[in-house]
Amino acid sequence: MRRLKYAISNLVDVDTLIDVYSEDDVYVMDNLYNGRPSKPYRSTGIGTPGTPEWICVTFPAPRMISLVALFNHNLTMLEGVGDELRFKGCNLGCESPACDWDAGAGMHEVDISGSLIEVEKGDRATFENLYSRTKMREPSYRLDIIDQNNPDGHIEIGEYFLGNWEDFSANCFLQPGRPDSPMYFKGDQRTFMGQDWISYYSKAKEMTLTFVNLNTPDRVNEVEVFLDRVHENGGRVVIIPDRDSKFCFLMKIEDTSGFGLRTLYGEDGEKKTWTIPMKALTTGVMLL
Amino acid sequence: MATTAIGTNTDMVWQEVYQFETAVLETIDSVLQLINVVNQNDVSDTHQPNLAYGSHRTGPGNTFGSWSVLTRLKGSYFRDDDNLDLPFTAGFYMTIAKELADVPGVLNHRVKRYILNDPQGQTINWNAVSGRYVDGVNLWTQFPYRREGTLELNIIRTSDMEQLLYFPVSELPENYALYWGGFHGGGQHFRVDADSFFDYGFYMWLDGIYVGAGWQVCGGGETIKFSPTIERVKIYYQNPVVNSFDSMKWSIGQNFTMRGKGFTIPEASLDMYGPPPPAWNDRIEKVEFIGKQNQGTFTVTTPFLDYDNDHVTIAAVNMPALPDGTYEIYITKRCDIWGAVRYHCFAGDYRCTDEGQLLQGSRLVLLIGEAGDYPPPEEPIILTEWEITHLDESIFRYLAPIDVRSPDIFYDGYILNVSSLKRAINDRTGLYSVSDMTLDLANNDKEWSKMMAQYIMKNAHVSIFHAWGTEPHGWRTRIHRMIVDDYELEADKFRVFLKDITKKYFELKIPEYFITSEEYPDAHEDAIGKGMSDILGENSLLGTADDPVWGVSSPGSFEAYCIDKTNFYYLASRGSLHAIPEVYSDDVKMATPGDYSVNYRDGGRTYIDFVGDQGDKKITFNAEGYMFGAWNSVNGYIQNPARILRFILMILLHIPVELINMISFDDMADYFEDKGYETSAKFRACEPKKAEEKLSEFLFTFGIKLFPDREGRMSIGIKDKSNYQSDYYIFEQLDCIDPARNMPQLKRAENYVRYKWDEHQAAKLFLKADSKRSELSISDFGDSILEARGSPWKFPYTTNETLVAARVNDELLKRAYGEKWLKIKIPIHKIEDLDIFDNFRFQSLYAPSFTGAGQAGWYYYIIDMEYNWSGNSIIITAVDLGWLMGQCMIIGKFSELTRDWMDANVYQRTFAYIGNCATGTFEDGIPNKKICDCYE
Repeated sequence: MRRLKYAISNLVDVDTLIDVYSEDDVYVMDNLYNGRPSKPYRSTGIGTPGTPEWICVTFPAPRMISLVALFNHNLTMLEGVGDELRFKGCNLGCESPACDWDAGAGMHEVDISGSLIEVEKGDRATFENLYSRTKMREPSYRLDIIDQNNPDGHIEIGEYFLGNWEDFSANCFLQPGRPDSPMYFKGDQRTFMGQDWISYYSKAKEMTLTFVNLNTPDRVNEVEVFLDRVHENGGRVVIIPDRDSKFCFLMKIEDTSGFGLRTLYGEDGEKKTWTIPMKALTTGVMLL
Repeated sequence: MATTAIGTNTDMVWQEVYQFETAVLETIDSVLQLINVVNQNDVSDTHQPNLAYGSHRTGPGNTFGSWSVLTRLKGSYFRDDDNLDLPFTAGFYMTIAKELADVPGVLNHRVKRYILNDPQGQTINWNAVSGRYVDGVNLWTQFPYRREGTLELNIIRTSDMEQLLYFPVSELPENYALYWGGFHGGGQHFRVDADSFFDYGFYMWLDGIYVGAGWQVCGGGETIKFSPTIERVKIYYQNPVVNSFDSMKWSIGQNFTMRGKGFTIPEASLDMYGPPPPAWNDRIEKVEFIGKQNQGTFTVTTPFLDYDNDHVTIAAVNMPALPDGTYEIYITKRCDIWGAVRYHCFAGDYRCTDEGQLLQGSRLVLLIGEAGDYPPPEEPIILTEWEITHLDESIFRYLAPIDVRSPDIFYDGYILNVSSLKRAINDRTGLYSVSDMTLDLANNDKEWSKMMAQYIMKNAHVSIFHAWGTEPHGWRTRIHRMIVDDYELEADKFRVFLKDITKKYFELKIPEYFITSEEYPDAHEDAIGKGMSDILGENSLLGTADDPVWGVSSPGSFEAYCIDKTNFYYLASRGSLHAIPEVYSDDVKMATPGDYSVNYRDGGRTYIDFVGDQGDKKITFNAEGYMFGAWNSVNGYIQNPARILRFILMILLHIPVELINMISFDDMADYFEDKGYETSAKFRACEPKKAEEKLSEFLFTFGIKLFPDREGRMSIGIKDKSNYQSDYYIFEQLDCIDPARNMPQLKRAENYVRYKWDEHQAAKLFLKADSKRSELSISDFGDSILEARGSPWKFPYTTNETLVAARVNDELLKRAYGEKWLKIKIPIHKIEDLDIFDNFRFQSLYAPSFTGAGQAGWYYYIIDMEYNWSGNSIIITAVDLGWLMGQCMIIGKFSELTRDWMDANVYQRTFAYIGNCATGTFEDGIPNKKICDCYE
């Protein structure tokens, strides 16, 4: 089975040294890790060949990064000549002259532009989230972006996630068969004669995480530990539906009320399926 | 003659300021009063209770004492370096009263004044300058100001717009305007230095007196002192202002036009008191389109601009290739007369009326392409802007029910729940009401716990906006302005209670000031605690000897109170009355000169000074009320109902000018003038009473409706035969969520009324009364229904019988069959189309009609709007305007109607097209209109 992947802790947080090439006055770089994809960071430009927009973070010590994800970004499919989306690691620090981010001295890098997902919806050709699996262990990481056709005139990233992916030993999958389903918030009205007045508010994804064959205490315990960690992370978790999926979501778990029962009855013979509803965090509304 | 400085030019934009910081500077042992030579030792720290200027000399020699006036504009609304950086002229309007003229035979006096400038390294704590007291020695250790080297002899007597060089003492009190800048005879010209004018204000002092043989100074032992009451400052700007774009979206191939004022101010309009100088050449230099999404800045320069004073057009061929997105527009113009000086504006930051009066606006943005997904979803969003003031600093918060990203503002999605908001007019009293509003905010991140600890949010301003996800942020619509009344914190939820921003003003009791023993230690015991009357308009209650028809045994409209038993001084009014025509002592008419004289002291208060002791006699008087420059009637004081109402709101209730829709008041003043009612109003505040009660009486007297517009500014209007039409339709089947409710309100019907008018304070009487019946209604109801409130209708603030008769006629027409309300619930999508006091036409299948066909477009006007964002709807209560239409035979304007009924649109078909009398139909068989039975 192509297992579902998840990641909980974003290593980019308030204790991380972070710097950016440019920063909007209102949408500041601290928004990169505020847990609200709807409250984003914005650059003031879109990068040009040789002069990318970049986000650089430095940890106190080398940190393993196996998952890079951007949520609620505004990137296009990067079809301009010289466009790029590269994730780079360096062991000398963001500001170190010995770490030549452009020429490549002393660093590893991976092109993650292939993680962009082309979709046909609205006026933008890309899905708002992307992720890439990597394998680096450095103290400093820089994300370089050049998106010369970006109609917004700036790079916008709702949440910048650097962490490590995990999976369950238990069998679990997402429902429905298509891993996500839209959830529309709306306020429709209808006149007594039948005239429709449609008010669209916002949309989000919802899905359910389903575990099966939780027939040993260890497996039940694994799920409980997972839920505890998510709870301590403000209820947020990154979900990758399966290892081959290009989609990823920053979700919040909506309801764990049934978990206690599963713990009690998680003995041999307990084979009923168990679902946990989740909702993707809102992407908010954008006005020009 | 165009009169730029004194208030009638309409080619330039201008604004008026009504709030000032003022102080009196007293000098002692000074040789001259010139401000830049006064030094510390010449400045007194004497308490000066009121604004004054003048001089005195205690003995022979060249040493004087003097009083001079310092004034600076308060606030910063009038100054904006991106938009309003170049004032052209500034006029100070004031009422000047004579306080003391102990100079035998003095005829005239003249003043000089300067705009002040750099304080030479010293600063003044203006917060310590109250206008009533200034500690000159301690605050101004070195005299801080120098004067601008500008002309200082420009004075206008506003009653006849005559330019003077001096003030005749015998005219006082009188309204004058002192002004700076502009052009003058002899080719002199200069502009107001904005930095000096706005930062340091102006200085005014007595330059000389004229006794009959030339200008001179006071003689030994003589004193002359005047009290100015500064009413307003009118500032003209050379900056351009953009009111609108012809289209908020632009596409390739279209011309682009902006409309407004001041793009190229014609030289002819500057001709005040002499020919304008050459080379004025006021012109647009460039228009810049500044991309909000980093598209860059695109500039169009002069050769490619077509413009006159009220529009700028860029032809399609000259428009730059603007990438998709939104753009702010920045205009630069220049005028050669001042050298290479540039003037700027961002389109929309300010708007102006046809007359040029500036209004605060919001920046316009031009949209290229689409703002959201296409096809666009209807995505209503409430946006709120919070301004919390702390230690003279403003802290802003922007909140919405979901995180909203706009180019310059991020709205945090804290709002969990929004109660409904109701804005309403009481159709009977004319007063408005706004419901309190409650917002629940998420406090999960303890943002509001922190805010509570840091700031007192009481009275913080909260603006409510409505926006659509498919439109740029710059297109959002303001719904109302409110203030925080109270709040409560409940763990992760923060509840805020909002109320209408203007409510606090109407809870004030007027008159605001009282006679106190501290201020008047020798006052009669009966006077202590009495209100200091504020009086407006003509108030006359004559004795039987003077008026055999309407004269009364206890004449005198008001009572004056003895505030000085030793000198027999009586306080008539807190301000300067235009005149006191009659004074009575225990109903006996007194004579002046002889028995008494009328004098103005203590900052322009009006006193009746008796020659002899009046003992315990009751002193009454008739009065012509306050003056206020351009608001005066032909009689020299305020009498127009709209002007008096504005005086009440702005001067007596201290409502800031930014909360008043001045245009609506000017329009209504014109309305009353057209009706012949320009001198019909009066008002008094003598015994303390809540302002809203007094206002309610005043509004009812004249049939005026007072209501807040969307900007939160108080506006006024009247529904009459000239104001019931509308092209806006609401269709019951399509637009109403629930069936419409027709509510005749028969229980509120009145068909027989008694009424009275012309009230007087001293005698506590209405001078006149009458009654009127609606015979048709009485016949239909089979009974007469007296006025519902059980007491006669009162029109206390007018003496005009014609006006009262018209008011009674209107009210009776409206109420004789109930008030006919319509209540409908419509989708929130109509939020930008409708507002209270708006008219609309309603189509209803079930509305009353002879044929049962319903109504195609009956007229209503909105008195109540309840916005329900949770329910996604608006509930509207409207009043049937049939009582107005019933007064009209609506023929229509021939030139605006199609000749053939078949070609007429639905609006035109409401007029009286006449069909075939024989068949009773038009050619297509539809029944025609009949005036009465036809003759063949």
